[in-house]
Amino acid sequence: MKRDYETGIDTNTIFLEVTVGTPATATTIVFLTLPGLDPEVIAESGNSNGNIPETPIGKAGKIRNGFLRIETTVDLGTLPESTWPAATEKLVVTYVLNGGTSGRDEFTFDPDDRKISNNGKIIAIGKPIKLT
Amino acid sequence: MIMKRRTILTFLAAFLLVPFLNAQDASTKEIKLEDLQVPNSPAFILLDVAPTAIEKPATAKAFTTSILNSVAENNGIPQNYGLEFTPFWFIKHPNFNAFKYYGIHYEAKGKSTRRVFAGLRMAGVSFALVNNKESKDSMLVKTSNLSLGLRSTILKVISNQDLRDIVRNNDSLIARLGKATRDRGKIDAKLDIVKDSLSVVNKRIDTETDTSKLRALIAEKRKLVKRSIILAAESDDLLNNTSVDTSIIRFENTIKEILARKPLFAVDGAVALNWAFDNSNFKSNYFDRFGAWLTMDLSLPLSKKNAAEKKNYINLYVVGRYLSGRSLDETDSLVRQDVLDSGGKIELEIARFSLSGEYLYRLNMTNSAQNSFRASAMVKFKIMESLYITGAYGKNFGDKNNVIAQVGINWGFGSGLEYVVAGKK
Repeated sequence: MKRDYETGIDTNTIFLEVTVGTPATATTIVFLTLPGLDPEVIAESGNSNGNIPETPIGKAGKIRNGFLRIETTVDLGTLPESTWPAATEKLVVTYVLNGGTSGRDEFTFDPDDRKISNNGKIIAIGKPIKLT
Repeated sequence: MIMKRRTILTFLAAFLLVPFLNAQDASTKEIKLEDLQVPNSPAFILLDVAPTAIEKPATAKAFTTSILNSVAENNGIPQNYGLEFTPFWFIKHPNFNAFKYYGIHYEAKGKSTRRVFAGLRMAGVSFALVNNKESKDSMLVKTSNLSLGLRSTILKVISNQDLRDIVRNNDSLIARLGKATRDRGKIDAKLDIVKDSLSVVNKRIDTETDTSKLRALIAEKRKLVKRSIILAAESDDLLNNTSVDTSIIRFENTIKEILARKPLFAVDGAVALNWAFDNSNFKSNYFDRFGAWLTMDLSLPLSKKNAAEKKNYINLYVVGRYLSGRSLDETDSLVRQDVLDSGGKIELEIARFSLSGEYLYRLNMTNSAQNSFRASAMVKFKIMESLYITGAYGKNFGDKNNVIAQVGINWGFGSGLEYVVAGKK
């Protein structure tokens, strides 16, 4: 489900933080799509298992009207298969946006943000956020 | 040719040794090193009677459903019911990650360290409700048993090599997943824009009165819907391709293989207790049994080569079991005892050959006349996977007929804690 975040129109910096809670292997990539442009990668979790510490994603006036897409992939393949249903059910992804006129906004993913591969091993969590 | 010769030798050995094995079946009921190992389900072991149905719910929902179903089926408290679960999987862990699961504190540039107590999180709980009939003072008494057990790896120390291998393979796995996420995310980001445009067009359609403009908007909507379907299908395909990507599967399997390797040192423990209720009367409840188990396992590889190829080890096992309460000995179910069984085994494992010494001591705190020990030396040769020739010599429990001299074949399990069934002379 799409979420809106009010950035404001000034030079204030907007920050994003992503925390993934799972015993499985995870990775997160953040895309910013500005009007009329292609999506651009602005943050990656690297080896931090899906976590992105508080990171500046741009000045409010510049990224306003853009779209954030926070894409997380969780790979359950390193866990015993018997634990996949529980690991899927108890997966937590927490997003925190800060610095805009909306202030500090903390939320998790919605059911329709989650997709699971046919064999149940890979979970994709995609959170779209419209910056208004 | 070599395989054929081995097979012939194996069957020949089995044929020659069958009489010895049959003779050993008559051996008296005695504790063995494996009996003292930390059990997976201490609640069931303590009861000595397995429940007829054992539920192993994988999720919190399944756990609730299992209990509700049992209550519904039995019109109340179930009569013979067992439950095993790991509470870790029933709770959300917002700050947990793969390295915590592996038992590693991750630091960049090769500075990662071990989390030796990480196994405690995966503690398993077992619970059993079992009814049985027992003879007490020449009366047949219906006893309801309620047993609760807890089992965990208390401490686990993996080798530096294993630590490095896990970190390296996890980094490689993340790199592959990162690429897949990037490819899929790019498409999903485009899909977000299309969906947003679609919602704008839908709003305009709802308010537009001009027919030609409305027609153009509907055409635009069709185009956007078509585009969104294509992008969504592309994204789904990429997700499914990631799940069967062979390079990803290779890294996953390597990590699982490393996690399954023998740790350098591990301590496992379990406790269980049991209450009994005679004739389904709550007032008649009494503490029946208590048990505690502890297993320590030190495994030092003798080779400094690649850890996956290590085959030579010095192993040291130390096991202990404390049992208190009504005796598990069925000959007299009213006798209460406090018994501490402890023992150990030191083993030199060189490729197919192993030499070990084993010692077991029973300390009966209720009746010291029953204190006794057993000590033996054992040689083992692995003919093929899960098939061994074994020989043992030593002293068995008790003061009479206590010489152990035995040759046998052991197959089926190769856990490293194989034991020799005592053959008395």
